Amino acid sequence: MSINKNLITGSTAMLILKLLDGEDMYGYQMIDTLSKRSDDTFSLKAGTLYPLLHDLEEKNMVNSYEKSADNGRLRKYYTITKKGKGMLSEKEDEWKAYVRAINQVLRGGESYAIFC
Amino acid sequence: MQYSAKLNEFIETICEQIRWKKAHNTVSEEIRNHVIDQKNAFMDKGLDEETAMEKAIKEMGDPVLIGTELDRTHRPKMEWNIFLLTGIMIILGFGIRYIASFEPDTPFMLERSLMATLIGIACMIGAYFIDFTFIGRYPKSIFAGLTVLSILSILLSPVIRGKHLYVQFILLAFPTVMAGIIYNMRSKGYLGIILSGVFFIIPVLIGLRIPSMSVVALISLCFLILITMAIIKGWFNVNKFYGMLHVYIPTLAIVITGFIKLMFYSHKRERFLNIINPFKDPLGDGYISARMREMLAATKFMGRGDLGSNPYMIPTINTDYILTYLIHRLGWLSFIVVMGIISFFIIRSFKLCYKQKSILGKLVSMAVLVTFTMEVIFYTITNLGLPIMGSLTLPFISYSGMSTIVNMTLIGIMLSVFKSGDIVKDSLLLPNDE
Repeated sequence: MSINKNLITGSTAMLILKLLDGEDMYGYQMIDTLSKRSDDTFSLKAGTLYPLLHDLEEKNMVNSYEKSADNGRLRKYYTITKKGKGMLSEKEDEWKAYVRAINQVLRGGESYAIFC
Repeated sequence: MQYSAKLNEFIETICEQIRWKKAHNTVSEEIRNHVIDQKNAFMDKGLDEETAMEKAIKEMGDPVLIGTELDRTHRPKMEWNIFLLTGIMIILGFGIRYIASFEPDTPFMLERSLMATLIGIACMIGAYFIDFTFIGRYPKSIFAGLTVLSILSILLSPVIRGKHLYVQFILLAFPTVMAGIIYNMRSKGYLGIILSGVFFIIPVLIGLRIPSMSVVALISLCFLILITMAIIKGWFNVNKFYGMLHVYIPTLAIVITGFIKLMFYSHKRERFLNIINPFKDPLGDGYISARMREMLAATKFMGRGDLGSNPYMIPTINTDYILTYLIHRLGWLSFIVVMGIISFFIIRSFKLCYKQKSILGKLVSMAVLVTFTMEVIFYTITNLGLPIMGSLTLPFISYSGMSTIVNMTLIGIMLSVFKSGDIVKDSLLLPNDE
């Protein structure tokens, strides 16, 4: 299944932060994990990921450090910061509100908001 | 390998979009790693190497677009806050020294101050543009140069109040150079710690020759903080506890020896006690502390303190006791304002130091900042009535041309760290010695 692109890019930052909330990861690992966890719904392009990651780092949402992998290559790992965690929970709330609203509309507005 | 030509071309196209050249290394390494990971994953699925590489590169997206996006993020950062605060401190210094110049025997020295500030600005801008990694690359040459400069100054500079006064301020640059020396001792083990210490003996000897115990104490404290930081970060690759012992046993030995000496030489002991308790000998050793305490005791929160007739009997107000004077002349509020601005500068810089990723960036910016902070602490303690040691300098506020130049250069170096510290990599600076 493929989803409209705008919906994905708007929430990519949230997804990245969510991944990093679990463990520190390097770029390729993020793309790989994301596509596995979403049953290949999200195939994030590296070309989108890195500018976004670097931007998040600039804004102190994530931090990076280098660690050598088993094959001797230096890998750049990312880790979520306190500020990033704050932004994640904010975005999650926003997302939930958004999904709730969509569902209400889809269900035909039969819900609680009768007199609003 | 044929495929790596394609990969190189792809990465080059990305980098061409990023105008800040220094960011190229970090970006290209990360992208390269990614493509290789992706390629390996495709090969695991059964593709041959060349197809896998082609597919992996295709998977990345448009290199021009990626590069343009990255260019937006990767820009050299000028910390305007720090720059502005430095300017404010300089102007504040001129203002305060102007007020002090109305007292007898306290010349304003406008021309010399202006001259020093102009040279300082030039040095600061120079240091900002000569990248700070310079200190990591050629620490020994810089160390040798600074040593020669200090010795020459001892030979050539005038002796003022029994001291080679200017040389004290040149020595304030040593902690920052020591950051480079420590940096080059990576993985050298306990020997690295000891060698760093051996290097440090030279500025200490120069300091004793001035003679200025306060500058020796100041740079020693800075050096201790730096080397402790390096040990904690695992820089020497030694057991941290034993590493600390290598530093603090000699330190303790020196401190205890000094203390015993102080206690055995009765005139020194007496002098020390007289400064702490000045009214036992208010016209001799305790003279300055006694006058200072009188001044501070007669101070208001705002406005001029009341000392009756002929209030300012402390010599060298504009160099050594400008804070005491300021507190007395304008009240504690002015002290709070000045210290507030200085503290803001220090706290803001500490936050930026903390963010540095490379060890070199951390060591160098910490060296500058710790030196600055120690200058402020030493000066404030002496000016609040405990002149056990010389007050040295309150950066930019108290009058000293040489101190202004040295401190501005150091801040230029720190700004250079903040400018590009994010993308400096220790692994690219030092030869791999494993």
